[in-house]
Amino acid sequence: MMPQNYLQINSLGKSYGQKLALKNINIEVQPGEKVALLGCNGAGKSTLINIITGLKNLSSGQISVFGLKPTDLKAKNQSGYLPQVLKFSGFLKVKEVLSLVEKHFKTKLDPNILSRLELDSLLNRYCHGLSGGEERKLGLALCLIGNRPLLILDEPTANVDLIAKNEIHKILAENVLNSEKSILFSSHEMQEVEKLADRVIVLNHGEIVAEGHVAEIKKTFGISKVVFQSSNNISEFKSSTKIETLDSKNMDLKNPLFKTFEIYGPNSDDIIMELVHKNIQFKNLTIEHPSLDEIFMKLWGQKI
Amino acid sequence: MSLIFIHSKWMILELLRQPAYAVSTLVFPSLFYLIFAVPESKDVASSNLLLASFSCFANFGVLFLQFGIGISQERTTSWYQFLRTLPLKSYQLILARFISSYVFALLSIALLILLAEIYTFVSLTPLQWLYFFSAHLSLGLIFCLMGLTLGYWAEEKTALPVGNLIYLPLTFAGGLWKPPSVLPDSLKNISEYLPTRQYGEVLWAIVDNKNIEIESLFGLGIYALIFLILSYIGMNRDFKSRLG
Repeated sequence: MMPQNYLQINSLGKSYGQKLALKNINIEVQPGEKVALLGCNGAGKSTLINIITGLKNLSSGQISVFGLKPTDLKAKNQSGYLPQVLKFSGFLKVKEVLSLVEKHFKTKLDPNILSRLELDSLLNRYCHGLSGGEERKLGLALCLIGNRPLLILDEPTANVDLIAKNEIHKILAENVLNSEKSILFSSHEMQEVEKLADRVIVLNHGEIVAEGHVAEIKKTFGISKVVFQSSNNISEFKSSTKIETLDSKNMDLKNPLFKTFEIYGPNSDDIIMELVHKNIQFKNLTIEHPSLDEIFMKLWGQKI
Repeated sequence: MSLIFIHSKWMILELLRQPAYAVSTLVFPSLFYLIFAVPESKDVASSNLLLASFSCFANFGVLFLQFGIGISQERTTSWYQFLRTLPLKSYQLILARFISSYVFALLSIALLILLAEIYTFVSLTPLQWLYFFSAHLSLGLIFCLMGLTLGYWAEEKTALPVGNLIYLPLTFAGGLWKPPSVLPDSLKNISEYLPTRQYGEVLWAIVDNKNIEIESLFGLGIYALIFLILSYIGMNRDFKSRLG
């Protein structure tokens, strides 16, 4: 009988000697769920993914993939994995790599996916001649072989161009949408997360610091940055998550009374409205959408 | 079982496409044979003995050095890590490399036999040929275990130099290039205890139609046990460190 959750992680911990890499991780991925793992570099995303795929042992807690140990062949048979870095054996051709992986599963890759990933024209190319983006697309194609119900993807669109990225997003969305298939993927890109995930798990220093639906996370952490110059003293803002006064080298030298402020908030309109309501004089106002890394850095005061 | 052969097939294809590998495994032993053995093959007896020696050299080179270096380099690659996430057991990948190495070892020996047939007076009975290949196939396992030990104890970058530091002295001191009788006195005493010498003794006995000395087989058995234990410890150590 198929277990209720494709992935079940309870109180998982991982340590390397004295160093704690993951602490008290609790995650479940249900059939059809698309879950994004977010966090700065070193937050523990790849370690967690390596444990889920059976490449690393856990130090404490429990994990089951389809109710089995991650190293169980039946669990591996049902989950596809795309590592963060995947360099292929350079002396094999693209079609040979595809054929080799296909031999492990009952069903072959849909030729339509090959053409959409623009791999059909590369089938006779040796893998050492592939670009970083082509390698990524081939890695994704390998994951899609066998029609496996759970895909675990470590930064699936790293190093691919914008067109390929969009195509990958579409293919992934089509593969899991309206189906029992699930994706657990790590990413640094908020846009990717918004496109693919319906649930987000945020890791920091090996701990889950936030979890919820994309809209909830956006509301909590904010994704807009409003930058402006003002001579007013700004210390409190209702609609912001953080106010930053930039140091003197960013000051307007012609108008030394004007300081540059960065305000982070869920909605830039709210911030501007509040500026107006508070009668704060401002100039040179710009609205930016900071990267997720940037948001994390501001939120937790980290250096990335 | 079929997955083992599927992976062996791709490993063989991959290795054949690497000129550096194909040349060093197939051409070098033959080149050495042409340069050093053919001129010395003056009659049937010397031809047979030299073929036995150089076939040991070829088999040892592929099954210890190339196999060991291959394991050492492969286990650090992201491709190998990816393969470990497929529904495939670790031992199946090792056995696949085992088989691919044996194929190259046999090709290497076959090339030597071809040269021996063309340029020397080599002559063996069908039964001797059967013993000749059986000995290479069975005793080759010891050198595969040696290769596994190298592959799991040496790091990716050190496997080649360390492997050569073992391979070349063992070949020379084992009497596979020059007969043990012409080795320097200091080496003669050590030579008897080396696995390459004992390997050579078995093959020399086969081509010379003599009885195989039990001491040689016993010695090889001890080496097999030692390298079985060392490779097992090395593999466990590697798995543990990789699994964190």
